[in-house]
Amino acid sequence: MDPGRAPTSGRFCSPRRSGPCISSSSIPGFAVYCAKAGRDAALDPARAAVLAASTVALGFLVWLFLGSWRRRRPSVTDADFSFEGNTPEERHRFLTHMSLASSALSIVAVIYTTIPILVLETCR
Amino acid sequence: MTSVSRDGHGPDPQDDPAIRRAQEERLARVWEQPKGWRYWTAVNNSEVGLWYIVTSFAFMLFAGVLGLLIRAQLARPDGDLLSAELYNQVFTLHGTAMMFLFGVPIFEAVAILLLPALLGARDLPFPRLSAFGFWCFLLGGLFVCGSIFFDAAPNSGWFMYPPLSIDQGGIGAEIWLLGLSFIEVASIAAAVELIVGVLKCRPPGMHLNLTPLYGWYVLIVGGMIVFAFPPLIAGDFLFELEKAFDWPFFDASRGGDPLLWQHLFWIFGHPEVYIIFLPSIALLAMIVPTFAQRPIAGYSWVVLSAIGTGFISFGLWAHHMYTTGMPSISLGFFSAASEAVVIPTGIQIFVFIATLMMGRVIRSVPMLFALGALMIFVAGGLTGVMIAVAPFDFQGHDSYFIVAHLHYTLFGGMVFPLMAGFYYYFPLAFGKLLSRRLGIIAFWLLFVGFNVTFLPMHLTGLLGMPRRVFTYPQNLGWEIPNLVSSLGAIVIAAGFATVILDVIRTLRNPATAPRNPWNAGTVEWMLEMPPKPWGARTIPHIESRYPIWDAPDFLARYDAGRFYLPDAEEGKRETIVTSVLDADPVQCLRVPGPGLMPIVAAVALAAMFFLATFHLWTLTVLAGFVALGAILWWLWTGTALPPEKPVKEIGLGERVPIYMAGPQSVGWWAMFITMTADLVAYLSLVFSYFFFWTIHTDFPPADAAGPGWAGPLAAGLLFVLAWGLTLAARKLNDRAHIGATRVCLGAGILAGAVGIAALIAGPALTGLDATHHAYPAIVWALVVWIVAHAGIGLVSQGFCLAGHIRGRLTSDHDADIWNTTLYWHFLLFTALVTTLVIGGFPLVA
Ligand code: HEM
Ligand SMILES: [Cu+2]
Repeated sequence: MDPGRAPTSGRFCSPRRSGPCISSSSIPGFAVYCAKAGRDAALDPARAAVLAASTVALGFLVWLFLGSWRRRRPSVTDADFSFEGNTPEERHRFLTHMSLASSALSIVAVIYTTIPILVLETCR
Repeated sequence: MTSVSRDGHGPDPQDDPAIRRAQEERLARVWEQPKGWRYWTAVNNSEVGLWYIVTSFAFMLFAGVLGLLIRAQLARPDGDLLSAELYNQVFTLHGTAMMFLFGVPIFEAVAILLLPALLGARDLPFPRLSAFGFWCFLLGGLFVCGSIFFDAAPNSGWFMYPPLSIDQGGIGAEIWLLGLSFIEVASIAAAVELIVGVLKCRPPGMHLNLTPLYGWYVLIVGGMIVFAFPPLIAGDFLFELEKAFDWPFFDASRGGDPLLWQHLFWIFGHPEVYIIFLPSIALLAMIVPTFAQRPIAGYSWVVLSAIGTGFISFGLWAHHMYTTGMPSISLGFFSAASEAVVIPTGIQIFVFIATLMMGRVIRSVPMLFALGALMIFVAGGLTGVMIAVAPFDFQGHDSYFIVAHLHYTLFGGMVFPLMAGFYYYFPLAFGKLLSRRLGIIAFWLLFVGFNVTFLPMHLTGLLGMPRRVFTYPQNLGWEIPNLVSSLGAIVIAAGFATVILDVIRTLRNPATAPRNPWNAGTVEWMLEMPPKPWGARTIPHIESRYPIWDAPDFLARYDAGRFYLPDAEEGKRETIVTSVLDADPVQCLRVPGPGLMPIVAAVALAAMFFLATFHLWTLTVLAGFVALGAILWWLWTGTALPPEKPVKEIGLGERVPIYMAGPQSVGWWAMFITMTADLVAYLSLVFSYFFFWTIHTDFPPADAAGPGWAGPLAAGLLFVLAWGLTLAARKLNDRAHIGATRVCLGAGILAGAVGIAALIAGPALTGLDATHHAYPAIVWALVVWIVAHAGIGLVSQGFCLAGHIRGRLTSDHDADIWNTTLYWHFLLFTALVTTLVIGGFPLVA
C-alpha cells in the first residue's frame, strides 16, 4: 500500500489495545481457575490457556509490527528528529511510527507477563 | 501578507488600524469579566483556572502543615505533641488531601488555565462545566479538610481499608467516601472537558502530530481518569451502602470480602499515581525544548511512551496487595508488569535528556527545577523497581521505606515539575516574571530540604520502622534518622515560604515581563503580555510545532488579526471547533458567558452529599431535587441554543455552521465520554458480583430465593421498548413528524417507568434482604444503580418532550435528542447486562 494512503488510524489504535488485552484477558482466566481449583491445583490447564493467549497476542503484534515496519521503512527514527511538515502524509507517517513503536512495546510487555506462568507449577 | 483579505479577495480590512481597534473593543466587551460580587459568576478559563490553581495550592499548603505536624511528632521518641487518635487523622488527611485535593486537581487546574492558550483557542468548549467542577472541588475539599477541626476527620489511612475503617466508627470514613466521590465526579467532568478540548478545539491546521506534547498528555491523562476514577466511585458506592445501610459487601462474616475494596481502590489508585505524574512531566515536555532552544528530540517517542505508561499502569494495581496472600502466579504477573512500565517511563526521561544534549542549554529557574525533578524522580523510580519485586516488598511493605519511595516519586514526578511549570508559565498568567535570585534560593531549599527529609526514611524503613505509627520507643536506632527527617522538613517549609514571598513581591511590583520572555517557539507565547481577557486575539492557523520559531511573520500576522475570528461581530463569545485528525474548521462554537447556575448546582449537590454524611435522608433528597432543578435550568437556558443564522464567516475564506448536533458536535462527544466513565463504574459493580462468585463455593447461596427470572426479563423487555421509542423519536423528529415524535417520547417515558417498577419487583417480591448476605446486597446494588440511571433517562426524555413542545427542539436543532438517545444506548446496555446477570446467572450457576 502507498504509505500516504494507508488506513493508519486503525493501525494506530489496534496494537496497543488488542495486544495486551488478549494476553491480559488470560489473567482473570487463571485468577478464576486458581480461586475455584484451590491453592494446590496444578497450573497446567491454566498454563496452556495463558500460553495460547500469549501466542495469539504475540503473533498479532508481530504481524502489526511487520506491517508498520514495511510502511515505515527505511527509517525508524531519522525524520523524527527533524521538522515534520504540515501535510496529511506526515500525520500518517507519525501514526505509523507510533504504531510500530507501540507494537514493539506491547511485545515486550506480553513477553514479560508471560514469564511467570512458565516458571510456576501450582496455584500456591 | 498584507493583501490577503479575510474572504480571499478584495482589500483586507485588517490593514486598517481603525477597524482593528474596533474589533479589539468588541472583543474586550464580549470577554469582559463581571464586576463586584458577580465576579464569582465568571466561567472563563483564565478565571476558573486561576481559582482552581490557588485553591489546590492552598489545600497543598494545608496538607503540608499536617506533614510538618507529623514530623514534629516523630522528631523525638515517645513524642506527645499529638494523641494517637489525632495522629491518625493527621496522616490520613495529609495523604488524602495531597492525593485528592492537590495531585489530581492541580492537573485539571493547570490544564484549564493553559490548554486554551496552547491551542490558540479562546476558551474550552464547556466553560460552565469547568466552573461547576471548580465549585464542587472547593466545597468538597473544604468539607473534607474542615472535618479535622471537629475531631471528625477520616482516620484509617488514605486508602480507607475495611474492616478497620468500618470498625473504627465515627463519621470520618463517610466524610472521606462522600466528600471524595463528590470531588471525583468533578474530576471526571473536568476530564471530559479537557479531552473534548484537545480533540475538537485545536486551531485549524494543527494536525494530530502537531499537537503540543502537553495536549497529548492531557488527552492521555483525561482518558485515564475516565477509566480509573469510576472503579473507585463504584467502590465508594458499595462502601457507603455498607456504612449507611449495613449491606455487607466487605464483611467476611456475611459473605463479603474486604479484599474487594482493595481491588477497587487500587484499580483506581495505581493509575492515579500516573494521573498525577504524567501531566507534570508534560510541563517538562514544554519547558525542555525552550531552554534547549531546539525542538524536542523524538516527539512521537514521547507520545508513544506516554500512551504506553498510561495503558500499562492499569495492569499493575495488585502490587499494592503483595502481602494479602495472593497466589504466586499473581505475584509474578504483577511484578513483571510493574517492571515493564519502567520502559515507557524511561523513554520519556531519555528523550528529555537527549533534547538537552542536542541543544544549547540556557540556565534558568524552570530548568533548575526540571533537572532537580529528573534526579529525584529517577531515584524514586529505582526504589519503585525494588519494591515491585515481591520478596523485597514483603520486607519493605508498610515501612518507612515506602514512605520514602512514594515521596521521591511524588516530589520528583510532580512537585518539582510543577514548580518548574509554575516559574515558566507565571508570566503567561500574570504578565510578570518571578525573581531569578529568589527562585534559585527556593530551589536549593526545596531540593536539599527534600533529600534531607526523605533520604533517611529509606534507612528508617529498613531498620524496621512501620509507617502510620504515632510514636516509637527509644533504643531502636530510629532516633537519628527521624530527627534528621524532621529538620529537613523545616527546610522544605522554608523553600515553599520563599516561593510564596516571591509571588507576593512580584504581584505587587508593577514591572511587566516582555512578551515571550523565554524565547519559546510554541503557540501559547504568541499571547500579549499582560494577558488580555479574550485570550487569543485571533485564532491562528498552525503549520508547525514551533510556529514562533518557524514562521517569522507569525506574530505580526497574529497581532494584526490576520487569522480566524479576529472579531466578535454578534457580541457572542466564540471559538472554533475542528476535526479530530486534521483540524479542519467545522464549527464556530458559541461558548456561554458568566452564569450563576453552576454555583447553585454545585452548592445544592454539595449539600446533598454533606447531608447524606449525617444520614439526614429527607433533606438529602430535597437537596438532590434542587440540584436537579438547577442543572435542568442550566441546560435549558444555556446549552444548544438555536443561533440567529446557520453559518458564519470565520476568516481566511472559511464559512462554517454555528449549530451542530450528533456525532459532529462537542456536546455529543462529551456525553459519549461521560457515559463511558459511567459504564466503567457500572462494570466495576458487575466485577464485584463475579468477584463474590469466585470466592464462594456456592454463589448465589443455596438459600437465596431471588430475584427470579420473571422480573428481570420483563424489565429487560420494557427497557428495550423505551430505548426503541427514544430512537424512533429521534428519527421521526428528523423527518419533522411532530405529533409522532411526541407520542414516542411520551410512550418511552411510560415504558421506562414500568421497566423500573419491574426491575425493583424482582428482588422485592422474592424477599431478598440486602443486609443478610453479600449476594442480595450486590443484586440490590445493581438494581439501585440501574434504577437511578433509568430515572435520569426518563428525565432527559421529558426534557426533550418539553423542548419539542416549546420549540427548543426541532428537526434542525436536535442536539438534545441526539444526546438523549446516546444516553439510552448506554442505559440499555447496562440494563440488559444487569437483567442477564441477576436474572440469568443464577440459572446457569
Ligand atoms: C512538606 C512536605 C511533606 C512532608 C514533611 C511529608 C511527610 C509525610 C510523612 C512523615 C508521612 C508518613 C506518615 C505516617 O506513615 O505515619 C507521609 C505520608 C504520606 N504523604 Fe507526605 N509529606 C510531604 C509532602 C507530601 C506530598 C507533596 C505528597 C503528595 C503529593 C504526599 C503524600 C503522602 C501520602 C499519600 C502519604 C501516605 C498517607 C497514609 O499513609 O495514608 N506528601 N508524609
Ligand atoms: Cu502502584
